[in-house]
Amino acid sequence: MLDKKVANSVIQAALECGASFCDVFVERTTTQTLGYRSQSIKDIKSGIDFGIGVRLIFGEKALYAYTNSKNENDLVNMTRNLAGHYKKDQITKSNTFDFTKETPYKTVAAVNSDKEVSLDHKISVMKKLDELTRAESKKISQVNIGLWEFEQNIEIFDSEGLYATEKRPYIRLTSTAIASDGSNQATGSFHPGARGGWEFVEGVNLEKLAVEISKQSLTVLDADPCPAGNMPVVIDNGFGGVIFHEACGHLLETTSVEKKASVMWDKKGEQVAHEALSAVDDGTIDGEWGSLSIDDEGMPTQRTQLIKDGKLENFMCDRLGEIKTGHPRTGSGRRQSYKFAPASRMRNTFIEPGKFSLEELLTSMGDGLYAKKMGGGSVNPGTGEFNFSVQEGYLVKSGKIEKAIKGATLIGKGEDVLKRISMVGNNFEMSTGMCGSVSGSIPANVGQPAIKVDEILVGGQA
Amino acid sequence: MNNELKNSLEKIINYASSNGADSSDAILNTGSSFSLSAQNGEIDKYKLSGSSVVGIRVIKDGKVGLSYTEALDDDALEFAAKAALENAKNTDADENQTISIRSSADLISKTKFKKEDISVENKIDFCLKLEDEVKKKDKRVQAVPYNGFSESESESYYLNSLGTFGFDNEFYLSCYTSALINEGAENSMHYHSSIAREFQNLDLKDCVDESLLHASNWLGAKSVATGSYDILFTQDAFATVFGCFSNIFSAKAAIEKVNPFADKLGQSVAMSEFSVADIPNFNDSFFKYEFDSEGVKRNDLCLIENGVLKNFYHNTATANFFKTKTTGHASRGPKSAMGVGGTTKVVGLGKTSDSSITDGEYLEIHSLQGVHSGANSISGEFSFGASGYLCRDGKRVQPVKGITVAGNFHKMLLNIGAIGDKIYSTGDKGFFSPRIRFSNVSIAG
Repeated sequence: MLDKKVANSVIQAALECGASFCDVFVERTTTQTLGYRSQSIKDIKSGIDFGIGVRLIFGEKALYAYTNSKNENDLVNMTRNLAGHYKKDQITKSNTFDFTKETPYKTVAAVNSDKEVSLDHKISVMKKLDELTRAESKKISQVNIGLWEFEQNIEIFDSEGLYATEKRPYIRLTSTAIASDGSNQATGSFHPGARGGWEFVEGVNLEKLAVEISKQSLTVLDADPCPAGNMPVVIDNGFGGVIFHEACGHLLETTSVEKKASVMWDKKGEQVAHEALSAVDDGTIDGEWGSLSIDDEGMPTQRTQLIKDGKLENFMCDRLGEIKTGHPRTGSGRRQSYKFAPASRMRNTFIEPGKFSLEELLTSMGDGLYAKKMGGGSVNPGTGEFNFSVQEGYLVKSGKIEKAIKGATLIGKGEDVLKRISMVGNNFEMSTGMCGSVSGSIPANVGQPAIKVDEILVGGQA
Repeated sequence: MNNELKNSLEKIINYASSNGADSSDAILNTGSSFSLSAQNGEIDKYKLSGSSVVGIRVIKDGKVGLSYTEALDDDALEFAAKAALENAKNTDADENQTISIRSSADLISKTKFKKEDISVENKIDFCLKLEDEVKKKDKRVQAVPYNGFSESESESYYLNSLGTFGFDNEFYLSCYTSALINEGAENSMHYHSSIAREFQNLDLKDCVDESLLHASNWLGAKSVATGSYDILFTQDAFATVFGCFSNIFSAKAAIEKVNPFADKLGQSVAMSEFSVADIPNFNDSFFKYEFDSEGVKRNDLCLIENGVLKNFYHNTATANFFKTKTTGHASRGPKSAMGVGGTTKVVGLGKTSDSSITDGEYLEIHSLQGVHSGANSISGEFSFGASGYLCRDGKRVQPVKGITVAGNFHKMLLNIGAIGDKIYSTGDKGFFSPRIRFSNVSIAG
């Protein structure tokens, strides 16, 4: 994508200005999205994003600039301008890099993405999902289906001679059912995705998906408001993993740790969670939505054990995080696009499976809330205060599901809730999501088996 | 205005026409920005950006196709025009979506914002001072995790195949800081920002003082007992909640059956004293909106008057569907499909004085968490994490955090207790409202 001589010129310019390190991130992303609503194909959009981001590191300082131009003069001038205020004598010896050999790494496989599929066929699949969903109930008043495919091609050059490229294909089928009884409306949704192409969608069981989203919307439509107060909660598998993502994951990114803006910043080696809990952030799983062969700094991704038997083992760390905190890099430098400097971010983050069945968790809970499907959430890393919504939930009495509820939110502090996860189930599952933070919105998986939290504040009707 | 960029728009429209489009329009956005952040007395992030993107919408045989490109060379523009036409082949015909706005004169925004010539040194000093002031004013500050400055300059161009041309530009500066205070085992953090057109108007002192005030206050905050409370949102919190449910004004959402007020035009949807209007060029607002994404000049629009739903936001397509006229609320970016969207919302004054509206006990809600996930825009239900103050007779008597506020926004509009007689704005001057007291809202603590 970028002439290698141009990349070398940019890096030399950066080093001449006194930068201790420079990397050049080149991105070309092609995107196509299809929107199917009101039983017709409404929008088909396609586009190409192209740009180059240049990062200079001066000690612990990161300078970043980006442009759409790949002209040598534009890029070199941008680099000199970027360094302008911090320009000093050269400290890192310039080597002329020809970047003829790629830095080797193990490729994380994608679900086959090379198969050519016509738009007609893709639309017919969306139409079928719409029909299957509507067939579930006359109360289904609308179905929104989206197909989002994008392929990110990246090139990274750096002043240590690294030259790496990666093709990252992504596909996601988004589906939302809306149920209406004339006076009230409710939604149910599920959005499976993968690192891969059309064959992933061919593997999705459309009948099951239609049942799932329609059932969820109909359940919520008839649900009672959730009672408010502190209570035990069983959070089921898959997207339930958002609790760990929000309550703990963000706190373990060196982006927060380096500023001491995480309550976990000095807890490495300490018991931070119940001994029943072990958690991992893994970028190496074939075909998963959050997987990468290399991170956006060109480092091969890893399987990073975050917590083992309740003890904090590792942080997720990028280059700048390593410089600032001394924790080792974990291949976690990620960004949405060339418009963002990389930052330490999650990939596929999950709680490892335990030994209990879901029934055992519910029985052990007795009375409480069963959160079958979670919505999104957020966290304040500085205080550890998080919140997330329950998309589909049920009240449980004496270990038995009693009735559906709606409008519940779970809130608490990460460090408290981690110690209250006292039972971990064996029905592990992962689920796709988009994670937003300092370096933009990126594909990330959450995952877990069902877990029991002994007590958490449930927001609902007082 | 950059004539080269205007030429790029003309070229992409011509490529669309010469490749068979019946009509087309295109939006080109270009911008540059500069941002800094400081940590521990040093600048740790320094960012320069510059980028452009053009997005085209074509109509061919009643079918709409969209594409965009970030490269503006001739080949890329032609490729994008052809891609949009290819996409159009596969969409279902939409007889309502037309490109039909023919303007007799160019739509050039009246306001011309000029980038200020401020030295990098001054900006760096300002950013460092922000952090330093937070630390100096309160020794308990453990960190200032978010602290920065930015300036942004942008231009937006619109052209359709009927020759309607529009141009708008923007320049503004912003700064933000935060205070993370630690006492014993407890952490508390607050963040505050300021936005301005001129460097000298960035309010450093307000950012510092507000961050420290609330971080310090909430250090000793407790939750309150679960129950029903009267609440007053701050303007920023109310604007956030209002924004979650703005689909009630969308004609597009009404067509797509995701507007719960779709059949309520002319009906009472709020307490009789409640009115709200969309005012694109409200005198006190920071951003002005002179024309929409189809080249339609914007005008004021009454949304709710005395509790009665009066109008929806329309673009040409939704207006055609409902057999009415566009209200000038077409909303589209270069990378997005045509939709509708509002501008500055202004809630009408009520009759209750500020001193009366704060009679007795109530919760003042300052900060909301989980807004993107805790609201159901179709059912109106919401449940957010919140912090604020328990107040009596206008005085804050206890800082409060670790609570949730829950309810149904649609029902809350009908259940307004009182509306104040003085108007206030959000920090970004994008939403204006008197103080509003909501009765019997569910709080969990």
